Amino acid sequence: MMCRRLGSVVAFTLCLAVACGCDSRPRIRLATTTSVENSGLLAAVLPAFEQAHHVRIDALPIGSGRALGLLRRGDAAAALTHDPRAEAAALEAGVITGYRKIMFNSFLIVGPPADPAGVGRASGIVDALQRIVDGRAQFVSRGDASGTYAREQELWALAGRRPARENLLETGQGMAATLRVASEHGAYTLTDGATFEQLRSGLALTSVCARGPELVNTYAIFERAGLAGAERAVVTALTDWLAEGDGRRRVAGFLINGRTVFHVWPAGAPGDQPGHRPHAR
Amino acid sequence: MLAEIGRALLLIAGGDVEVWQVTGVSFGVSVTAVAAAVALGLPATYLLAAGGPRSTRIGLWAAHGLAALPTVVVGLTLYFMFSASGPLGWTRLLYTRAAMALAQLVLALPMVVAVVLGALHRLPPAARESLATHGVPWTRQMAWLLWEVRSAIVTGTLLAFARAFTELGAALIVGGNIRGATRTLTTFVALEYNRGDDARAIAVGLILLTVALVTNSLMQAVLVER
Repeated sequence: MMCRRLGSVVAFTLCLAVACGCDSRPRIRLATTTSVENSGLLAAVLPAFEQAHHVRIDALPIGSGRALGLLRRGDAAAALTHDPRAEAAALEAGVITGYRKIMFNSFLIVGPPADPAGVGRASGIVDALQRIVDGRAQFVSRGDASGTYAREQELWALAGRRPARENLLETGQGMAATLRVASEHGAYTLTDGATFEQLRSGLALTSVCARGPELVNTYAIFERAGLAGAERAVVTALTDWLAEGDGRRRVAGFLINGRTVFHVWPAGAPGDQPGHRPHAR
Repeated sequence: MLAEIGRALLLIAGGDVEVWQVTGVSFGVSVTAVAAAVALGLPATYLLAAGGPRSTRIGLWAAHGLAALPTVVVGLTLYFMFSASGPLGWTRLLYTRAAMALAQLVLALPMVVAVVLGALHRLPPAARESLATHGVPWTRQMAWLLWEVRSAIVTGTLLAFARAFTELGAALIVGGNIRGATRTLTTFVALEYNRGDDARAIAVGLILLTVALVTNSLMQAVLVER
């Protein structure tokens, strides 16, 4: 009696677990940088693709570094990231293929409105970073495997100096949490334009340096090498849709606070290599 | 802060579809995990208790130790097992609700065993011996002994549910916080915090808090005090 009841509980449980994993549509896993999910871009554009192609895109917003790691391990079919150096390494290692730049925006240095280090008067990004270091201003760093952190490291190398230990805070968290820490501490930080635009009303931070070719932030989509069959067809369709189809129009129309935060890749500009930039310098 | 709480209450009152869908996922995954933990834990507990004082002691020791398993370590371990390049990658369970339920099962099972085995251990030994000498079949013995410790079973189940329903680490790692699929109340709160949508973070947090508190206190009242 008890055994039979136990048996039915176990059977019921297994049925539930199996039912949970079911959805009639084929699914494709897309690993992404956090900014495209947190900004609401994916939620705004992907449903149209899902409907048109009768598929489900499972977006995993986990940061550029881990997104590439997921492709390497075979846990995702495609990725959308913004870390050209890591992408170049993955391309060279033959881990990824079908590389396509789809959009760009700018990284910004943001800091307290009073701008104690005078970063706003800097002549360029190198001068700006040197002012932060020399002015002994606090700087908040992501300290994770994100594309933003990778860029920050490249920029410090360009500046030729780094903040002293006591002036550097590493959060190890996402962009939003890092911006909040910078705001609470009256510190400077490097952020992508989309996340900052989305959070700026709640932050005591202002953009102090936003221009310069070193701050261009490019987003690319690509697939795992060796992808085959239906999965491959869906990923190819998604890439085309975002780069030149209806998706391109939807990305261009995506606004935060009435502003464009992701600019579509200029038509005709080459974008099949990580080093490509949206405008000829 | 007060303004955000006000907006949060409005959001809840407005009946956001996604919030209810996420609540359903959370509930479904945790109830599945706890049901499985009870279904597996009760016979296991009985066998440990029936095996004598030595197996009881080992069982108590192991269950109490495993009850402290860090959620992120469970998540990480299952991630590497279910990853496409891991030993169980062929099951294709990574980033599904089934994988999340499995992680929560691992977290919930020791709670059930620890509480129920402790109660069985405290039963007077004469009771079990008289059952055995009268030639009662073992399934009847098990049912009778478990019935004797039913309030401990309720407590163990509720503690297991509390642990499963409110954990974030494992759900985030093996579930992946996929919208419409593996997004649960806890991963939803973390996401809304990351997006900077404070009102929604608070709204979902309030729902999580309410469901967790109400479920556990109501179930306790209904099951123990009847």
